[in-house]
Amino acid sequence: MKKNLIVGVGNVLMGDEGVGVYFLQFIAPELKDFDILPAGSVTLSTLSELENRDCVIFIDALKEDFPEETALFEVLGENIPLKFSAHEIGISELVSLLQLLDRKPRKIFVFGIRPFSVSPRMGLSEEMEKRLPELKRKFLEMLSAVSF
Amino acid sequence: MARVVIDPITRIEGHLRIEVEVSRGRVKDAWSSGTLFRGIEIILKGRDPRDAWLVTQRICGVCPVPHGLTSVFALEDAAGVKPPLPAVIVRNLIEGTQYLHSHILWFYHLNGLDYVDIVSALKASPKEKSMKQVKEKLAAFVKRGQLGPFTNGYWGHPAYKLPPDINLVVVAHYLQALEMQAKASKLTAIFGGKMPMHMNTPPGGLTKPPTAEEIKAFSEGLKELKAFVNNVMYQDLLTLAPYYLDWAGIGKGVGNYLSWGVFDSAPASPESRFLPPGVLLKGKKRLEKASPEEVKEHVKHSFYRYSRPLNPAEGKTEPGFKKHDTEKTYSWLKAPRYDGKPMEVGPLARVLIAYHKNVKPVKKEVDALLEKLGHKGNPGILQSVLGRIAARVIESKLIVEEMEKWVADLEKEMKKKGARVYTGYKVPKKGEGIGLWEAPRGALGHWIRIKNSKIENYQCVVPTTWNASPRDDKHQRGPLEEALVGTPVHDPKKPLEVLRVVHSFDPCIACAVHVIDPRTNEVYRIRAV
Repeated sequence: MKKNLIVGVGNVLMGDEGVGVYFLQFIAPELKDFDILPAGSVTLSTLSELENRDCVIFIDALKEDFPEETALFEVLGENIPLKFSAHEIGISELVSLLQLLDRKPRKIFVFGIRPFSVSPRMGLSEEMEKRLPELKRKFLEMLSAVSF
Repeated sequence: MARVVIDPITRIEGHLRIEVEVSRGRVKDAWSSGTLFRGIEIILKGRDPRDAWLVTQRICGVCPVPHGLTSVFALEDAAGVKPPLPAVIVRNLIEGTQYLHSHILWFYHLNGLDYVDIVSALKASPKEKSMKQVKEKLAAFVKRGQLGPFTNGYWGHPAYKLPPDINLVVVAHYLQALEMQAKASKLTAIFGGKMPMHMNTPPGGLTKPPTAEEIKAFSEGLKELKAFVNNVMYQDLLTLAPYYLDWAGIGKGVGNYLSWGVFDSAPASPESRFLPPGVLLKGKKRLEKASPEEVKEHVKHSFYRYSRPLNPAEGKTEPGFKKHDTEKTYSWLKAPRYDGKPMEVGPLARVLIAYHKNVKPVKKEVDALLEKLGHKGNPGILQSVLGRIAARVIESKLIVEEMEKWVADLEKEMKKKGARVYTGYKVPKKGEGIGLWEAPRGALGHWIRIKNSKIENYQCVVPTTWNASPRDDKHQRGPLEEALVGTPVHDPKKPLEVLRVVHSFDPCIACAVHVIDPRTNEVYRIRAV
């Protein structure tokens, strides 16, 4: 097990909603220093993959009306209230549970990508396919700039 | 008379709305509505049949394994192919890990807080150091405002019966169980490649043979889970049950039970499944054979555009939203009926059917528990809310025990010369197939029709569609609706008792409703952030 993990999140049956998973597969060859997990849904099962890591980066779709094409957030994990259904578990809920168990990774980031089209289909939209090389450049730039 | 609407019900999977009419402190009538749409059947039309088991797993990130396997069985049925024995065993083991994951999660995290009062746990005065630490941790969590999983409780409700010290002990196990459910998923991934959505069990068998290292790692992880199930979860059931014995008389429901059977002992031989298939009807002692031909889905009270009850082999997914009206249409769930009868599915159905079929380990466990609860020789008390809780714990205990045997069998099989894990087959140009299996929550069926080597029609009938279904053509209530009638309600503003009945069925709506509205293309998006 490597100390850092990158997780792809999103529904691969909903077009660009699944960009986190598709993009992670696209950039995987460049990520030799990381464990990668094309998880799709974040569920309670993901807990065991996250605990005791040093740094975790989630890649996920942004809202369609987000003003930027990509965005990077750090999840601080303080005072996150959480609901409880195994389905409604999201990144923040997982972080909160990891805190409760004293297993929270030291740093957690979310790299968001704005989708072009979210609709029931497998695979990315053509527009998104075209952007992949540029998104890869941005992501790798972010990786080298961010201080773990 | 008061109408109480709980929408959404929390600590379940997906979106469920429950409406009950309360009169003189009891539920007089109830309506269960699925309020979320999903379009898996529509997505599948026209696809390569070999894609179906990967697509259907995505119905739900919580229990993808049974959907994947049931879809595999449907295509294997259509293609007339049987996987070799080692593949059958590995599939059992993957399914088993899913059961352990699901039952542990349900017992502690989805259902447990209906019986365990967190606020009372803070009043405990533990002597042990480890319990003191749990109390401090819990207090700090509550103080920081991260009440989190605990926000939806009706703390202090008189229906909570446990003393503070026991509440605290179960909270400690709640935390331990969070790690255990994750461990169970890790075991799924050892053979399955990953979890959620495993990837090694295509129609025909497995993508790769299990290695000796994998078998060893699996076997070690299983030991840990077995210790937890036997020494913690089962003991917690024994501790809790005496305080809640009145719940052995509440929430009986329709009293009809259906199971398609689960855990194969030989390739494609449903009758010899460890938990056998069967139909148990109210008032009848004899177990009947479970036949998929007897299933029809009614839609009179659901949001669909057609009206005739259909067998899933001919089933349609043609949505037509109408106004939510409990007198007319009020759910996206269809109402599956067996020979015209509403059927309860799930762990209780499986355990009762196995008990009636004299499956020895099941009979032994059930009888032992009944004796411990002071109800020797009276399995009738299991037809209740408490019975559904007990059935999940008993099933976990039985399955973990069997899994150890399957691991030993697998080791033996893989050592045989020329051990195979895959049988080749051709996708038929034209054909039909049915996959019948059991998800942790109950009976699961996938119906596939193939034309020109593509999927022409695909229908899933999932556990919660059976359990949380609305009324049918004859106006008979669904099992959950029926179970709610008669439930005592101390305070309609804090309907804890209603939640107990609902949670006892462990509803999972994510796959139960499987329609999007094609006109508006409206889809609920459950986002990770």
